[in-house]
Amino acid sequence: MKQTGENYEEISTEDLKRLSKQAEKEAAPSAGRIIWNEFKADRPALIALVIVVAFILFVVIASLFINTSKMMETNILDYFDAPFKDGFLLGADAGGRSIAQQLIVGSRNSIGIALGLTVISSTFGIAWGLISGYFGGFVDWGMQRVYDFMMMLPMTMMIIVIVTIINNYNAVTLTLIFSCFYWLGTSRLIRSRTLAESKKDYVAASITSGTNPWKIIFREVMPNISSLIIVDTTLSFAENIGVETGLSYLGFGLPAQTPSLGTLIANANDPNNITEYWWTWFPAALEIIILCLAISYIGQVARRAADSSQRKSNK
Amino acid sequence: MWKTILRRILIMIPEIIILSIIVFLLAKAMPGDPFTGSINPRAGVAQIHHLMEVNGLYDPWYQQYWNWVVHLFHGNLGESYQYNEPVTRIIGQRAVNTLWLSLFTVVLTYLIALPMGIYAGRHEGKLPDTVIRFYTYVTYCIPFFVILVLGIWIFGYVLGWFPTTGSVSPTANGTFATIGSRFYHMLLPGILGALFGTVNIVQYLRSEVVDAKSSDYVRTARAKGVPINDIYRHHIFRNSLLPIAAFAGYSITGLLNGAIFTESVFSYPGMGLLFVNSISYRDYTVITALVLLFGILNIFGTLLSDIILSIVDPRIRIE
Amino acid sequence: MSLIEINNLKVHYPIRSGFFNRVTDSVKAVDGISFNIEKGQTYGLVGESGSGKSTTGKSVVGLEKVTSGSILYNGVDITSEKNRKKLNYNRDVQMIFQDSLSSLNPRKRIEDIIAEPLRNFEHLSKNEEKMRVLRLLDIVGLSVDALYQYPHQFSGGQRQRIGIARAVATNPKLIVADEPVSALDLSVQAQVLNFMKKIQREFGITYLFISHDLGVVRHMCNNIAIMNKGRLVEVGSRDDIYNHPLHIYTKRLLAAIPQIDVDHREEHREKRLQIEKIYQEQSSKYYDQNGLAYPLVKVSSMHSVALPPQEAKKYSEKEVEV
Repeated sequence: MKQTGENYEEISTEDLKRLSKQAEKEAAPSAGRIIWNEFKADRPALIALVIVVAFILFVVIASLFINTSKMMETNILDYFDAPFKDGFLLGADAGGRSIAQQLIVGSRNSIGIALGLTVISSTFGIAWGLISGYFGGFVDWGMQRVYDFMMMLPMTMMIIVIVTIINNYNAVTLTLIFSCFYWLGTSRLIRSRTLAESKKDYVAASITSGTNPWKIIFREVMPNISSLIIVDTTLSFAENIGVETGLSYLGFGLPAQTPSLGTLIANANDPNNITEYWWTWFPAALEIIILCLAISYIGQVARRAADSSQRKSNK
Repeated sequence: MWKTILRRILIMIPEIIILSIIVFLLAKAMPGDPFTGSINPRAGVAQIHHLMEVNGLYDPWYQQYWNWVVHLFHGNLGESYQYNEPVTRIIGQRAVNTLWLSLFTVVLTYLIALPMGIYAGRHEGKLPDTVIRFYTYVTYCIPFFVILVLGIWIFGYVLGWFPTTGSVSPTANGTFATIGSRFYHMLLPGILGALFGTVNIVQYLRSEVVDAKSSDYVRTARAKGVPINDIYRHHIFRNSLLPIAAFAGYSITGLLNGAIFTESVFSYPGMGLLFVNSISYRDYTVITALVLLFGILNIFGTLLSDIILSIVDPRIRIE
Repeated sequence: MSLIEINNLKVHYPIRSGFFNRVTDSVKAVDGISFNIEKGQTYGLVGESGSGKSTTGKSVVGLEKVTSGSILYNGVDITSEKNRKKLNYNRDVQMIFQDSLSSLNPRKRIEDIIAEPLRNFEHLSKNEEKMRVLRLLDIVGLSVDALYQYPHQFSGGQRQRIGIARAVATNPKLIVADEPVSALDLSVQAQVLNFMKKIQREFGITYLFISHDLGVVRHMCNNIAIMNKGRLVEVGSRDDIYNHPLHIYTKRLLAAIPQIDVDHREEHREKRLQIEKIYQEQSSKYYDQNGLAYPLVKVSSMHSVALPPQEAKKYSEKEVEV
């Protein structure tokens, strides 16, 4: 036996590198790679992806050069300046504040919150769904009762009430409050897939191999539903953009001095603004629409990639 | 089946209790006390203390909760600080408006979604299907409030086709004129809500029809020579319709959520607008009552859907 | 002492119903079976689908929650999770699954799949581990290239061999093979079965071989238990079962083995029809009013049959436990 062992040692020093390389090439593509291939095959999807990524980068970088507190200062002389007047690319609002600058900073805030909300709520929802689906039995029963109950809560109202109770909140606390409520959809989806996945024999094999349940859940089962996770996360990102902006629109989102796409659209609440000074709110509305459509489109393509029968890159 | 329904109702009871506790604790957490507004502004701190004591506000929370629940069962939800009227009366007036608008929206949603879903499923993969799926995709991913704002801008202000505020025109005289005016005011918000709330029904119906198309019972019917239109009308549609009806209960949650936005944008005096205004005025008694009411309505909506589903789908029934 | 002693094992799945979702009834997947597996032998567990044989196998490896009864491994009851943990039970008892594709995680490389039990039970260095995996691959006849490949890149027979390599990785004493070749082509079946025999000789492994294929069982097993509706109907050596079957269910099963003897086709047909007729006539006699088999009765030192009470009296031997 020692003899054979030494033989293998020889092999491993020389050939292992070559083998690894070869194996890498033949390896089953990861979920990320499959989706990327799909994007390369679908031109509009690639364009959407480039637009979204470029826009987010632009907004983040450009907002670094904008002095927010100065931007939010009232300047009576520029009261409702029309676009292209006095150097205001998109005009100014009732306070003479540049809409273009507010749009950039607002986009960064809104997208940032949507991203944070997506990361937190998806992580929580995925973990919840995996645990509930994997363990089953009483654990699942209890977790499903909590889910059922959360579903009954009047979500928007609760969030508004909580925001009113907490006087001192900022973008982070706001994101956390939203996250308490927006993990439900993800958890349901992941749970049903985990239920099906846990019945497969490779899970049984891992149990008899002595692997502990947590490792099985996150190292064995989760990679097998990764495409579902990627798709769901993308789609919930698109949805989450509407969450903060909607509440900010009502006036219960970000504080007044922090611009958001929602507060910009709230300019439309004034019957005068909505028709006469349309530039104060319309660009923000348009941006949200384009952003949501583009991100969901990306999600749709990712979903197609996850479903091997619909892939375009195969054809 | 009765067992299923009864069991379902029993599950509901702890849900309502927990909901009421959460709402009560939220109400307690709201800043301010209920007397500052309603008594003589010159009343001293001592007097407020006295009032708090008399009204049991220094009792432990569970005792206060119990008193609150007892009041609830007497229909006593307190007085609105903003209107100086019993909360029940204020909500009652608004609830009617919200109810009509929601009902109108639901009916319209079904009228739009049913034919679309069936048509898309029937012509799966062809142009109409692609168009309908694109439509549902667009309506699904754009935030609803943005649509409302754009809708009121284009159809309310620019084109002037629809009223932009209120639930009835103040100049409307006589029963018919009033009803007509009410309907007119519901038209735009209702249409927008319906057009953008079809996704679930269309998608469900579409996949149902696609599945049914390849099922054995449809194939048998076709082999017997039943005309294809009759198959759709008598077999597929009937089979898919009842589960769809069950969505009505679940959709209450979405409608109430949407009402907050719809009524704010259209200044439509329903419960949603009342809630937003009460938050602005810190009218806590009204807020508490509304959250509780919306929660209970959600619970009953789900109950309704579950019961319909258990009647329709024998697999869900518990024997 | 036997390696495995199963005593009155019951696995019931509760049916919840009624107002408070109480357990009102249960599906009796395994309903009181007892048998022993001796070290080094291959024990065959035969039955139609739904007879509870897979559930029994899963109970033995500890994948199934046992309702009552005991499974003694070297005298320790391993139906409790605590005992299994203490013994590092799955290091000694492993399983080979029926569906080789679903039993290998599609997202893992073969190296990680085979090394999984090693990583959990034996803490080896990276190099030692790799050598062990390479040796295992060698034993099951796969090349070194397999190390970095993924399950879908192999054929069914190769995948099943990978499953076997994983099962023998920790040098187990007992392997539960749950229909290991049912999903494979006939030609590949023989290949995999021969591997299993070779490994048995090399490592001194005991098998609990679960199958519905009596031909395969005859090839593999020394002792055989026939299972029907969660109970054992006949237990005995290969000779007892194949040449002296006593229970009508066993007879019927044996008659169902296809014969290639073309010259006597009609005779076989006659015989088969006759056995079927006897089965139809006597099935009420051989099963109790619930359609379940009677308790086992010892007819010889090795051979036990679930005979009806009046028949059982003929063998005035002592009754074996239910």
